[in-house]
Amino acid sequence: MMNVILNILIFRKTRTLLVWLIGILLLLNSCVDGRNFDALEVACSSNLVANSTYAQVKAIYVEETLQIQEDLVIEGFVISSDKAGNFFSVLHFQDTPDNPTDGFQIEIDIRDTHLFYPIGSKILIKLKGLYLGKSRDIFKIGGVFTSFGNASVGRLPASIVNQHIFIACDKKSDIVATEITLDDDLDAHLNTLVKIKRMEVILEEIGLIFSVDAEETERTLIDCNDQEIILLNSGFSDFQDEILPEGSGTITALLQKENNDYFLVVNDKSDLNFSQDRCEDLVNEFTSTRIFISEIADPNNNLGARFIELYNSDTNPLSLKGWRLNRYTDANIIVANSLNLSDYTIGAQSTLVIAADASVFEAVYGFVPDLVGGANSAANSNGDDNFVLLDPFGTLIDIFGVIGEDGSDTNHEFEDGRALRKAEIEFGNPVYTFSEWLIFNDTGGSETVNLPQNAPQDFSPKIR
Amino acid sequence: MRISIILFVFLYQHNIVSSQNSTTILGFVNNKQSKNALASAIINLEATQISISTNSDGSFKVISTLEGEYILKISAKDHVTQRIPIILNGRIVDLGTIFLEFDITLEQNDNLISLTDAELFDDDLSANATGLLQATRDVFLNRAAFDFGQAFFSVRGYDSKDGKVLINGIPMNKFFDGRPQWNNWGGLNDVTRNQEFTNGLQASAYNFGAILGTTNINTRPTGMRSGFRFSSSASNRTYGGRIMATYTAPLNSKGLAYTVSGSRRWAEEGYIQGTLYDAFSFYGALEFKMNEKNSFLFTGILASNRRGRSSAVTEEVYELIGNRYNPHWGEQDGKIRNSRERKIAEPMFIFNHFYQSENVKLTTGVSYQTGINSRSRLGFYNAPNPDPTFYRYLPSFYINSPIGANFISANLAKKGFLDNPQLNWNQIYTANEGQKAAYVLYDDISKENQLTANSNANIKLNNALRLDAGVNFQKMNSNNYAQINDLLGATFHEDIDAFSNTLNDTSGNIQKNEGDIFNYNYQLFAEKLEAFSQLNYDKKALSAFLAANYTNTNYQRKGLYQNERFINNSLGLSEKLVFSNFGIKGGATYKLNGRHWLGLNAALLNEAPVLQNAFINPRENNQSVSELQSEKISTGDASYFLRLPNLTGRITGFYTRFQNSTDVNFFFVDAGVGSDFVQEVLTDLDKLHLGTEIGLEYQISSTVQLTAVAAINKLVYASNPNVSINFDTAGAEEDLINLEGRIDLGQAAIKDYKLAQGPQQAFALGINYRDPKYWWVGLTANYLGNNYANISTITRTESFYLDPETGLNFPDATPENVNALLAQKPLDNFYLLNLIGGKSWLKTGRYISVFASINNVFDTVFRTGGFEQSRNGNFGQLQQDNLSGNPSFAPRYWYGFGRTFFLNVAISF
Repeated sequence: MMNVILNILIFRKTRTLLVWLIGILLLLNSCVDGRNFDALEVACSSNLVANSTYAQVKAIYVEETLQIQEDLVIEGFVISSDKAGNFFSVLHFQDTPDNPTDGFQIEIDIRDTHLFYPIGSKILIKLKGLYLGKSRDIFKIGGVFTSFGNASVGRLPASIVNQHIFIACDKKSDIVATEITLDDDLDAHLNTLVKIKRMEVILEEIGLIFSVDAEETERTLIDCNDQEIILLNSGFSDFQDEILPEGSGTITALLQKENNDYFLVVNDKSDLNFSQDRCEDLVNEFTSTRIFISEIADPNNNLGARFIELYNSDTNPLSLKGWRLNRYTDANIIVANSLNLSDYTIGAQSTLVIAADASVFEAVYGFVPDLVGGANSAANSNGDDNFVLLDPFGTLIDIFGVIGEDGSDTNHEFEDGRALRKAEIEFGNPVYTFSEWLIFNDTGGSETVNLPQNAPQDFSPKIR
Repeated sequence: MRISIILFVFLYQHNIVSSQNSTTILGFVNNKQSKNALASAIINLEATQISISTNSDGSFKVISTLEGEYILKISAKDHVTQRIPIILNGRIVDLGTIFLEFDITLEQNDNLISLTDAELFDDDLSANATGLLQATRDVFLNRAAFDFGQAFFSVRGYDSKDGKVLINGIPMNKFFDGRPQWNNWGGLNDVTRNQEFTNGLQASAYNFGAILGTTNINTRPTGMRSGFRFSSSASNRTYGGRIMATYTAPLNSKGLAYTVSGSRRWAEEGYIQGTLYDAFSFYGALEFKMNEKNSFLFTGILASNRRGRSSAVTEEVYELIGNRYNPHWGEQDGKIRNSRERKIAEPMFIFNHFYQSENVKLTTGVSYQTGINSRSRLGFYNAPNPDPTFYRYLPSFYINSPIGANFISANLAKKGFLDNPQLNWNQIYTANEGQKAAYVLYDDISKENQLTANSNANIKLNNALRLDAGVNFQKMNSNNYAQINDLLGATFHEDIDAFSNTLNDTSGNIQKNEGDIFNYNYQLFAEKLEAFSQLNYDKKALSAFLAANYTNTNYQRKGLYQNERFINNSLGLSEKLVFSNFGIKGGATYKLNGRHWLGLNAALLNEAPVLQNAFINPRENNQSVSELQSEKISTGDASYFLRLPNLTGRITGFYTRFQNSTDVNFFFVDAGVGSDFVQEVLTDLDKLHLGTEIGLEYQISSTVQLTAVAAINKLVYASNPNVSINFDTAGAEEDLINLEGRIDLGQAAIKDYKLAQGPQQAFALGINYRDPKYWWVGLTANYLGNNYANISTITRTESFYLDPETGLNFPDATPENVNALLAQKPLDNFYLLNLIGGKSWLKTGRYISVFASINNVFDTVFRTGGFEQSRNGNFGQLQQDNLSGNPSFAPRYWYGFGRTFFLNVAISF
């Protein structure tokens, strides 16, 4: 065999042979690109400049969805992510990474947008050709769809998205969620990323999952001041079937509003950092025996000027949260009207005047009543009804009249007249005691005074 | 040795009959251009067994006792054959000097190879076998290869696996799909030109054969023309340029001859956009002639072929962007980057021994082949599909929306697609900015080693009988795996099935880097032993043969990964699948006289299923098709041959029935029984192929020739196969079709649907002009029709009627509605005009030739084939998708090349 190989070498044309073999070898690396490519620098847009604010864009909208014809460009910082699937085919963005003043959203027909527009990336949007619309008070941009002749903003087809959304060359920003409380003016933070402390899931929903499968689901969050807000969850998110956290803590979420309802949407379940203990039950309902009915009016000359007055003889003001003033009409033993006084605080040694009719009251007595009870309330009695004052715990604090007994011709009739608590009384009394009262009416039965009273001169609302 | 009809002439050349009343035919054969004598030219009296070769001075002398009109055929390698009518009447016939011209149509073979490259488009397409036909001079097969081939016509509707390719007697068909891999020797046209083709069922001396035929490529340097040959080509079909050089040293005094050859083919993109071409080939053969009877041959072939692939597209995409569109590529750094490349580099080494005595010829060979077959793909994991033609990105998605057509969005989608129709590599790098890869460019690799041993004997028993016998053993093992090529900017890839969140490899590292094997990893083992024996009879007017074969095949899989979705049957060895089969075939040719012959052949074959149809989901588990059957093929053909002095041709009728075929497909389907990514298994599938082949050549004058060819076939499914689907059960239980991971869908009513095997009708008229001044032109007008896209079988099962929501039949899924929806419509018929021409010169001993062809002169747009997508597997969804007439999951089609050219210049000395 060796002999054979040697024989090749002595073949005459060997040199020529080598020449073209080398020639071919040289050509091997020519002409066609290989498989190795250098990693691409991620493409970004450095020459596009925003020329419009969100407000200016939203101002273009008049009544119906329209296509933007102007060469407008807006910029923003992405604040939503579809990584966990709670957002889908939408990008939310706000005007600055921190302390934003406005937010906006664009609907696009792309999945896994977080790969291309992660939270914090700065995007520029060429608006020309996009559609602007408003539904349930939310402004949107995107594509369009029409149903029953009405155009609304829909998802922008995937193939055209890159002609409208551009990633700026700026480094990705850290979005600082604005820290707010539910007492703040929420409208100032709409469509931006906010952070709210001391939030928890309401007691009734503890143990539930985030969302019903394939259905958008509302859950309720409450802060330690018992203020509530909706948490809106997609039925398609990765965490949809996980149990809501039990504890209390901080939520970072997009604040949104549909019509008049505010709600929060999180990017992932980790945005609910509820690792603290739940809030203590707030003690904000107080009782006191120093609050009582101090004057009841049924003016002979003016039915519209009826009122009822409460008095706080204490030296501290008191919240009336949970307090109620109930009326039993005539001989009825069922409450005809229950007036919730929760929203009021009664000052130290001050009155709370409840009018039957605000405008008449003001015209007659010259000042605005503290509240208006309305037609069936204790403030609008014709003089033969009974009233009770209950504290937040349902305890009877004070009473006028006898429940089940029509006041006519009794010692608690004040028809066309006035029932006035005597000045020396400083405490409510759960039992009606005639001696604590001065009563004027048009019959004068049972030691009452038959002397119809006229407004304003015979009455003293707000004065004890 | 290009002509099958003169097979085994060597057996007869010493047996010239001689008698008192004989006619003697005398003459010389010279090359027309050089006037040099042609030794070893073959002189054959047609329709007789008389055949001799010329002496070294070109002279010949034929003596025969026959009488009457005959045709003397004079042929020599690389030369145009001449047919001379003569009358034998007992007198001397002196033909003087016969000049044979160089055959410049030889260059056409180079051109043909560029057509066979089209087979590489994708495997979804059944490969036709044009490569197999290049060695034939049968006018029908010539047209089938050179003209109909570009429209994916396949002879008799056969797949290329139905043809056998041998190199020095050693079979080259692959275990995996049964097809010969032409790229293994692509670009080496100079040294693979010595081919013998046996058409159809005719007897091959090398092999039991296959129903389409057998080609034996002979790589012996002693059979090649000595000296240099250099050629250079330009084209706009698949490659843009090619150079090829070959040198053969003739037999020297030590008994040695060798040939070396090399070529390079390249293109940044071919006719279809983004289809890069990057191929080089080397060849070396050394022959040692020990003595008159024994020769040894060593052949080494290294052919590396890297290609950018293209895709079949829906009519919607074609309408939007045309027939050259390819969604697989995009620009990166200003260069074309194709996400789907294919690279085949499987060098082989063959050692042969040839023994030849007066009555015995023995060919023995051992070959070893090793290498890779790799396809790249862009994987996406919890990321949007990067394919710009993904259905959600196209206008039809908005037209077919279940909440109503949205024409504005459809228009926006159209604009977006037309502005950016290519793969967006920028987006991919953007998405991969995180550590974990959203997109990964990886290769599906099959690394194969195959050892083959073969021995074949041809024994002359007497003047009329010859016995052929052979034995062949093949052993293959392959490693099959996915390997990360490029993380595209990401730091690692997390190797988890994104749909079910399960591990692909329970014991491996989850984080994978570039170069790592991931996703799946398994081995396949295959062995095949084949023996055959064939008896040939040839005397006077009758020649006949009878052959039988026996094969024993076995397959086995070994999983190297334990897949979490198939914990119990993914790791380790599968059961061994064993097939033992017999086949017989026979045929006869009867010569009524020198001008009219009749031929008849028949065969009954049993063949093991190919490896790719044996295991259902080999990437993930050891499950094989239950009760896997061997395929049964019954076939016969009858031919009438015409050999008039100026008119030759044949007409053939054939009938072939394939039975008990098995097929495995995979796709995502929204079936009536539920939605999943499934493997579909078809069993008891029968196919019927029948038809007529006509080929005629008419020599109007010595310079002008007319040809007419027709193929009229009927290729249909002939049974309603059983369909079952397989899937994993790793997802959420409520999303699963069932918990068994398999469901039997019963029969698919596909009987009488047309097969997608290319045009079932093809007609060609051709005219050639061969000028005495050594130039030549040809023109063929072709008409192709009755072509069909491949049907989806799952939609033809009963499950199609089911509403997956209710489990009940759709109320409006009446047979009428269903049939209307599932009716098979033919693709458009079309005309193609092809032009070829060439010229040659002989200058100071250098032979120069130029060859050019223009295909599809009128730039006709046509579809070569296609397939229905199986996604819409239930009536409701398919109906909804079709309402607009522009379905999202419409059939996808391959579009043929428009007007293309090929130009070749060759010089030899």
